[in-house]
Amino acid sequence: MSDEEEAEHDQDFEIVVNTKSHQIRNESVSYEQVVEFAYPGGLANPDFIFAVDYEKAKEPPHDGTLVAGQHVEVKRNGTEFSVIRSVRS
Amino acid sequence: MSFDPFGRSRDLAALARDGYELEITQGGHLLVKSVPLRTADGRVDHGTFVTKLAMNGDVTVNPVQDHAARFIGSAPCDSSGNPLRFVTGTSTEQLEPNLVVDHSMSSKPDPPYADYHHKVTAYVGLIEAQAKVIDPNVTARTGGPCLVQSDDWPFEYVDTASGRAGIGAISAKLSDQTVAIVGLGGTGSYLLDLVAKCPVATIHLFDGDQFSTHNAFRAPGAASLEQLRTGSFKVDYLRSIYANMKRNIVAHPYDVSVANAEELRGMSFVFLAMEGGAVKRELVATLEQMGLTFVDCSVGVVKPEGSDVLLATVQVAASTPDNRDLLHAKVDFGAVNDDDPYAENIQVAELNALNATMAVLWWKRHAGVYHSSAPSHYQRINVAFNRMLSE
Repeated sequence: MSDEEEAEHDQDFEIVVNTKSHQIRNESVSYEQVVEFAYPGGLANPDFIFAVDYEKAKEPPHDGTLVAGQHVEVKRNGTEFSVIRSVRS
Repeated sequence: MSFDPFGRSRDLAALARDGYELEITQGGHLLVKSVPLRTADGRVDHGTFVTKLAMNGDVTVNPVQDHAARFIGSAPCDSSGNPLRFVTGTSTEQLEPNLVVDHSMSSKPDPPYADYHHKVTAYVGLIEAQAKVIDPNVTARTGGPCLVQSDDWPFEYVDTASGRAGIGAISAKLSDQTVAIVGLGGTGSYLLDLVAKCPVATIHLFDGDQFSTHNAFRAPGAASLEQLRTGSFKVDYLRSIYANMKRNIVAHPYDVSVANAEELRGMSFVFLAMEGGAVKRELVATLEQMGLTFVDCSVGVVKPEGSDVLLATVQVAASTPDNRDLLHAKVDFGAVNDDDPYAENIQVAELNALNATMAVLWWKRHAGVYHSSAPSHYQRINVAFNRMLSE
């Protein structure tokens, strides 16, 4: 493994969005990023409201909620997100 | 609910608490049913003790001025087979259109009966004492239902549970309310299950769908095959069940939109438990213009592709004249996707029940039934993360 590859590997983070693993490059993860993983293209619809929650984030409080424009710093792996539209009754 | 004798008269509440099977008639009589007595030929039989009820509104007037009473059934006798001393006459007499008595009774204490608890327990105690000689297990305190025959009474029988716990005055905070449930799917049917047990004046149900098999798996109770086969509207099916205990449930077998939203004008409270994106957004705007207070209920269920578990959130968002904005930030008015797992007939009645419970709690906090230290217009539970959020 070259130094360059190793450095690149060190920058990878693994998050879980709606039970699925995703590799990302940055420690800081945005609302928009995780919504795109869960509902590809969904951000384009202004009527959609996504409830985005996380657990096991890097810094306390480790649990929280993201709204549009917000970020959270994730652990190298294991930070978990749920992204859900509530439209049923 | 302007007439609540068991809530407002301590002597009647005490009789109900004791377990007597009471009925207050339209014509102002108090009946005590299933009173054990000894017949002339030495058997145990049961009859109904009847007394006029002097009331000021829904409060009994005490001490009791009229010591006389009536009785329906066999003449209550003593051990020698003679009618009890205070049975003063036996002849049929019609007191009300639906009330015919058989015997007159007169037992006058000095001083007079302090209240109706005193009067009933004195008479009934003497009558059932003779029956207890034959069978010591008999009692007039059956714990059977108590009834009120009045157009102003919102239930088919008396809520002795609230009387027992001493919370009648608290639940009475809801008694003037006319409530609408818009959408009688899973969440709406559980809303009715809870609201039907409250002393609200009237409940309006709106839904244009028929009750079918998949609804049965998301509704309280257990629909029979015969009930499913009749193909009733949801509102008619549910009304027929809850009318067993709750009066004044009005079924409207059609959906609500801006076109007929006028029917919701003047409601004390509206529960929105409907799906429907743009239609719901327009309806919300109309309810706001009418100045109504309402709460929107919604459930989100996700089955990630290739996964065999569900993720779920359950939320309520309230709208009051002093806070219209939060609901708009929280309620998804997008189209509903019919290939999501909820549409695939996954049984998630617990999510509907939870959503209904959250909405009813919001309503009861707003009405002052429950104390609320930090008023909030939004609550959401994330089932996967075991968390509740509030704003």
